[in-house]
Amino acid sequence: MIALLRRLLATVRWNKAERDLDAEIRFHLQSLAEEFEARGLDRNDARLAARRAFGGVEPMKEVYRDRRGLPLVEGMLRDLRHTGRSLRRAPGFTTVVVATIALAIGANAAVFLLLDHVVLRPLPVAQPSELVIVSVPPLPLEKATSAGSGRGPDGQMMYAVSYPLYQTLRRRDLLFQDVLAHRPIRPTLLAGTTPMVADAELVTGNYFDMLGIKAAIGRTLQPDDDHAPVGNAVAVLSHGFWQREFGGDPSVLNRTIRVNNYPLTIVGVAAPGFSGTGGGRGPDFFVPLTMGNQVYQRRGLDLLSDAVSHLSVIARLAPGVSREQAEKYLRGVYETLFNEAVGRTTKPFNVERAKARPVSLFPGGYASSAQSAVTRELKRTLELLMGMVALVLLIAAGNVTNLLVARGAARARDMAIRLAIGASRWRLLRERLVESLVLALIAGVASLFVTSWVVRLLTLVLPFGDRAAGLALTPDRRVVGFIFLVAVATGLYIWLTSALQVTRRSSLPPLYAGATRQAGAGKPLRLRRGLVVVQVALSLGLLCASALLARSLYNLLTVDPGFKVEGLSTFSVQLPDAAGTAERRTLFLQLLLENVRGVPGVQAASIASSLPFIDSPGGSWASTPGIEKKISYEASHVGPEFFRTIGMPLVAGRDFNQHDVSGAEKVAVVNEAMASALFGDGKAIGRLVSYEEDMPAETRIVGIAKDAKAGPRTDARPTIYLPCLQRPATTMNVVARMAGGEMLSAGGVRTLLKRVDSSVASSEPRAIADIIAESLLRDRMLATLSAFFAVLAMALTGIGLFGLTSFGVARRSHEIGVRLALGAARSSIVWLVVREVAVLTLVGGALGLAAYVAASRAVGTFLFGLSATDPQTVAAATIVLAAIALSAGVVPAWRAVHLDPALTLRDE
Amino acid sequence: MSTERTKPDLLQGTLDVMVLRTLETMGPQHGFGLAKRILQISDGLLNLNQGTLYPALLRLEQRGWIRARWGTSENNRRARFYELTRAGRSQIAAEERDWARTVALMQRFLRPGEEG
Repeated sequence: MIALLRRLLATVRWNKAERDLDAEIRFHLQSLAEEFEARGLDRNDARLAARRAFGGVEPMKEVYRDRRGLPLVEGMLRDLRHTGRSLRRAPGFTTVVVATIALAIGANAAVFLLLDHVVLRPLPVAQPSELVIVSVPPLPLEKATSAGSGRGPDGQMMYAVSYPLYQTLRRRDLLFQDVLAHRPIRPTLLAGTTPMVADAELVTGNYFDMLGIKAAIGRTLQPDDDHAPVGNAVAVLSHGFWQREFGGDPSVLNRTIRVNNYPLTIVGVAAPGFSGTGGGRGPDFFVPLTMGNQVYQRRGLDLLSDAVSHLSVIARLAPGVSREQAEKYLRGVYETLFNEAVGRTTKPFNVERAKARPVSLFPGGYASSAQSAVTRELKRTLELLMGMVALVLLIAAGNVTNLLVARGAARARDMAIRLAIGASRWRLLRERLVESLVLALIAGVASLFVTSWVVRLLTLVLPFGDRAAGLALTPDRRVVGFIFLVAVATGLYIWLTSALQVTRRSSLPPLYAGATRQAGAGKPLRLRRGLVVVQVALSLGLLCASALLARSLYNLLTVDPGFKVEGLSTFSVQLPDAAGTAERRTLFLQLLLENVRGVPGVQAASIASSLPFIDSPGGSWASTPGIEKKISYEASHVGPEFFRTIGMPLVAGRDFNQHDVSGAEKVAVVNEAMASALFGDGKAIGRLVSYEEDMPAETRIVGIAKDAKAGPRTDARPTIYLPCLQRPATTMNVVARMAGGEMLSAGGVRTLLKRVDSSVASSEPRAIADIIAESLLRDRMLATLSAFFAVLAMALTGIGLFGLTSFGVARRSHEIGVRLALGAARSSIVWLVVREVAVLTLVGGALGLAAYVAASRAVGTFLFGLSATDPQTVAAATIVLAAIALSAGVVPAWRAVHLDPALTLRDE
Repeated sequence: MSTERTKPDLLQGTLDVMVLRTLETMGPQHGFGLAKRILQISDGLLNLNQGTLYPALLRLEQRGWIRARWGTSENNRRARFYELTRAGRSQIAAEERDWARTVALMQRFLRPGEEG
């Protein structure tokens, strides 16, 4: 132990120890020489004799040094100093290498940062790895039920759970420590004077305790807040909302807020950093689940009954229990429950179909398990981008290896000499290792700037909209860790690919005069060619993918939504008193519409429960008298002059008007798809339709609208438009068309609403074009980033080819000089140079195409309107690559042709 | 006999004992003096590059058996003098025991008849 410390100390005090050793040896040699002189040798002979008697000074010093310090650490330190010197001596080389790696690592870190926020990072809760999402399909029941299900980020089915089923999940001993349930609602919140649309979360009383979330001030919700049938009228604010809306004022405690007009008392604020289990900005406040029926009135719907499966359930696994174990056990329990329920119910129930719906547990503690829209939308996208950007790093590392090998070739003689005088190969390798790591780590530090720069650029260029809210898109500790790991891996990679070649004895020149000209021949060159071939292959693959994604985006952008988007803006309102009468809501809508039409600049305005191309409304089954079949459709409740306002053409019949109110004849407009589905001949005007199961067919079709796509990627679906003044929904969108590029202003909407009904909350008005643009976030992100990566890859590959070809010309300048002197045609010299580029490009290109075709499925799922192997695009990409490759050969070829034979030959 | 090569491993162990014993009899001594003395005593049996002494000295120093300090030599030069530490002194006894045991053991194998 003490010996180790001493050696460590010696390592630190290297210079002093080295001086001492020298002095000691000098003394010994002098004393020896004097003795020999005294025996009668002359001074010179005496000195030589002393040296002989002493033995080799340098080897002895090496042994001594190894013994003295920690040879590895000490050697590394020495190599570090050496590397520092040699890198400072070649600032151009250092800059190019560092910039190349920094750019590539920075791009990787930027994608990682997004991926981390959207998918990878654990939620800020206690022991996130123990949390699982419990997905249990509803049990068969006597009554009709409404069952919620959705798809997770990987497309897996996830079933929402009813309150009674949740309680069953809690009571049974299911290898869970605890189980919570939650669901989001969007109520109207009145906290000050202006009502607003808020995001709230109904949660069970154990929510905060189970997740390990403390209160910043006051208290969190507790199990006894959540007693059935009606819990405590309390709410806990999220920290972000408290800061945003109340400026972090601690006096909010015990204040009353009105949620959908129901009073709740604020009892606390949750700890900072926690924004629910749902990713993104998260809920504004939390309310006990058993208050659901009070704050979220839905006609005839008891949120606590088994008629609605609407809860997301998260469980914490018991210690030592794996997700698979718990899942297997839960499946057994569910089967028993299922069979009991089947035995109770008299209603015919499709047992086979129900059994195909699996009970599953999914990881619940990570950003990807948040089931947030942004995760669902971007998980696969970011994974694909991560793969692409990793290839860019590989290409960049290839360039660096090429540079290092070229530099190594220039220093080959130096290296050969050192090997000859007894340096071990490991010693040389170690020097290269330190050099590679130092370069990569410097680049890692530089890449931090690249990362924040790229991310900032992305948030500017890409229409993140609301989805960026709550994502703190700045490099944090996790990103720094990622950069460090990637930098070390890159360092090791460039070391392995370059150093083993550079220090191979057989690749070093013999030590006789004139032999340096052959430096770098043989194996290193083969390696470098191999690297360039890989670069060409990878960048062709990237180029193909990015070209396809760009064309796909273009296809999406040019999809005709079926109405005139320009000049349209929209905002949504939550109708007053959702539990109130239909008449009151109708009156409100009429008044609202009148006021919107009165805003200067508004040419037309209407209302809709859902907007075509943007929303996908739910629907049901429709039928018409005399025809047996039932049609699945989507329903949208729209106001007077809806079709004129949004500019959707009617093929036949009329638009809705002021007279289509409740009490008047029930009317509907259907789209072409619905008309032909219902009636075959498409002659729908004047005919009757029943648009909800078990309803009499008494609604008359008065118009046929032209088919519009249901979304950028979705074809038209049968749609029925119903006059909202006859049956208003609880949330409606106002749409207004304005001239001259204007749109509704937020302030304008607020004053307007105050005039109509001061208890109503609205969203900010937005241009419909922006909403559509945001819906293409994924595609824009793919096209933009992959284009950026492809350009980077092409540039790096071009540089790599250029470097290799230039090196080849320099290496063969003697040969080329001879050829020129003997009268070779210039064209043959050009061919000599370009041939190498051409061969490498051909081989790389062929490999790249093959690899791309093999991997094209990963890209194909994102494409719209063209196949992943679209021949035109792939051919164009190949031509671009070939052009870049050939242009990389032009300068070296020019240089080769203009070599002065006299000079190169004299240079022997 | 000078062409005979002494095996390095064996040398290392023996050199340690030689250095310690020499320091014990001579008192503080510099590397040159130690080398001279050891070669003198070995009387040509030891074919030793004098330089090899220094790593051995360092090893003994690291084990805490000797310590070094700078001083002035007989001919007024700055030289590093080595001396035994207390641990070094007790080590000599241990080394001697070991040697005696080793020698006795080896003798049984090398001249088994004489033991008879």
